Amino acid sequence: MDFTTLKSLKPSAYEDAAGGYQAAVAMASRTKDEIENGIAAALRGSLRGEAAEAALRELGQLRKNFHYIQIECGLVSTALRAFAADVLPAKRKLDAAVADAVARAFTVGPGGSVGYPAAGAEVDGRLPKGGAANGTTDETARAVNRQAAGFDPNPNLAYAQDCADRIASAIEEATAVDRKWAPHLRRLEADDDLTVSAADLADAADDMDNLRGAAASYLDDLKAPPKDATPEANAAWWHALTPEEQADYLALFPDRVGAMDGLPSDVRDEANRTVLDERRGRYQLELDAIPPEPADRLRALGPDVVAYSDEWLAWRDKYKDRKEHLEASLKGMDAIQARFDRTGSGLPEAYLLGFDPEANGDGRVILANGNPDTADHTAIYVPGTKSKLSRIGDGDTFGDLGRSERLWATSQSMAPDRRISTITWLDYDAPDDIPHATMSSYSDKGGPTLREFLDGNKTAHEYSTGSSAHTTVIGHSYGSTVVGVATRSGGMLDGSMADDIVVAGSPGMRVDRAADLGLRPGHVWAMGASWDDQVVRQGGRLVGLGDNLTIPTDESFGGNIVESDSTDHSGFWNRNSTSLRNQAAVVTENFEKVELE
Amino acid sequence: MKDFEVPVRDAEKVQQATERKSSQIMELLGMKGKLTQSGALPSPCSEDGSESGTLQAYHPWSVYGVPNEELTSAMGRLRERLPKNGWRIIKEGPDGTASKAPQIVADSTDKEFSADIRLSVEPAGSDKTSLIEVTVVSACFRKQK
Repeated sequence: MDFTTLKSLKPSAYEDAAGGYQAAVAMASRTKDEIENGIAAALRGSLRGEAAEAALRELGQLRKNFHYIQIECGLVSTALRAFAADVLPAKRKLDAAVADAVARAFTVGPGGSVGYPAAGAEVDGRLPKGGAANGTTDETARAVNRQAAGFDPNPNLAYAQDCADRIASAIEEATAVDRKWAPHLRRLEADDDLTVSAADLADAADDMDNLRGAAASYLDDLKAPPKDATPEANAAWWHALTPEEQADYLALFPDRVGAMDGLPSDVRDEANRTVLDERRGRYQLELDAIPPEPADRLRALGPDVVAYSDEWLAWRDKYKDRKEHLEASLKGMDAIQARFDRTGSGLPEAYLLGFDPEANGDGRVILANGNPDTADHTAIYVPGTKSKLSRIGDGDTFGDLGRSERLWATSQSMAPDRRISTITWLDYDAPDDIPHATMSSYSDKGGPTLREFLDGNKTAHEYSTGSSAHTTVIGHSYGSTVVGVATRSGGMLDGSMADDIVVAGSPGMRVDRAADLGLRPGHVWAMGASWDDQVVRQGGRLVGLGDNLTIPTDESFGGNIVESDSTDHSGFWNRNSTSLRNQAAVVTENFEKVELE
Repeated sequence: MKDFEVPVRDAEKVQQATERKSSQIMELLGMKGKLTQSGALPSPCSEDGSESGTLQAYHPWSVYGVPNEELTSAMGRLRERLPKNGWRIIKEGPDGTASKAPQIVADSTDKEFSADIRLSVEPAGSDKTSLIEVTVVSACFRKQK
């Protein structure tokens, strides 16, 4: 960085380049979405067999490549904009100093020195001669120069010195900005192989962390997100940002943007998918770096006496918990990715509205089938005991994720001309077992979080369509207790929390009457669960999860009691199918189609 | 059937077979209409709905977008044709809901599938669309690993 460089530097050129990278981000994002929701989905929906599987694997890798491009180009774009913003004051200072010099008919040399002509009162019949001032940023040197200028009969010297000093300052400031940003931009150079590996994604996460620090002052100038964080405030903030500002926040803070209730679902989805891929990269690297468990776990202390070996104990103390946590988190991430890979085989686009393997102890995952911002009918399913990120898509029927998928298909079938969105919401620390489930502290924390999410849902839908969807909240076992607490958590928006509430296998909702949930009469629906946890239900009653020992399947609760049995059917129709159909009837406002007990 | 008596099956094949049964029912309805896009999904059979255990293929779909009379006559056509096409009618008549929808419950004669078909006729001026709702489920099985 020198005078010539700074003189010719155009911050706008960097902003234009940032725009170019942003266009690459948009392209990569569209392409990755098209691969998942278009090409791969169509392939899954129509072809089977080994060739199709191989093609889908390649497509999966291609999708990952495009996502990586999206992430990294987003960071480059932000870095370039932040650099341009950081260097602009220095550039302006230099230009102003040069302009002042030129205005006084001074000349600026290639090194930044300022030449000045003869001027002033004649001494011995001659004008005091001109010269050149060399700028300095050193305070002592400046003081000396000021003194010299004071003695010099040519008044131009003082002015020229001032210009030269300002030029020197500008160059020094610009040099600091250049030195700060060059390494960051160099870091963002990609390696030249065609595989996006776990290391590459972990690297992208590091790039992001580094840039956050470097871009701090640039970001301070951007409007910061609101501190009180109501969904309405979040939405207002987001929609007031320019597209560039939104892109910058998305690039640097995907974890925060992804967790902000009130923001559009496609934005949260974009953000959380970035977090998902980066975390997977980091966790996989960390897991790979853990040394193998020592084979010799035990050592003999004597005949018939064994103890754990020191080597194994050391390994256990250092690594065991972390390894289990990494493996559990990766399992949950795989389940989420598997859902993305199911788009097209009878399922709509997936939106990852929340993701954090470290939240709530057991992780956060909020995943929607179909876009809730534009849905006519939205269902939010709150799972119960034993729910955690690592199990979210467990087993042959895909666990809690699978439940929402089947509800989506059933609801779409009942209301074929409507847009449906079903959401699996796990954003609370679910109790691990029935004895723990009797403690109400889990729901006390989970209730307000659920309320905020639902308010955010409403807000995002309003911004998108100007209206609201018909919303049904479905709580299974302990999830229903969370729902009950949520209805009594101060909502930021007027009105009830939801239009309909369905509870299955509820051990109590912390209220003793349906009316206390704040919904219109007749819009609370209770059923026993297919997995018939009478133990949970009656146990919940006894330990007071229902007020006055009342649980929702009691007649005195005042809700609609929904049929859960399937004996009236034929061989293979079971309680799951009955319960799905009844839930779908409520979700789609086909209340006369609900089978009541 | 007890859990240990349940056969092991290739889940994809069961899903495809279920979808074929749905196609057959669509043919037997003998009508043109709009169809929901869906595939058969795996669904738990066991009471506790847990991840280790038996499952079945579950395929809900509906046909809509035609006048009520067409739907009604298609339903009648289906009722006639099912017994001649490998199905045994288990139950028919109004279903047990407030809507009293005409319902047919049938099992395939090879005892591998069940179907639940319901006609839903909306009055003129309703904002809901009339439709025939079909749910086909397969027999329970254990997934071949």
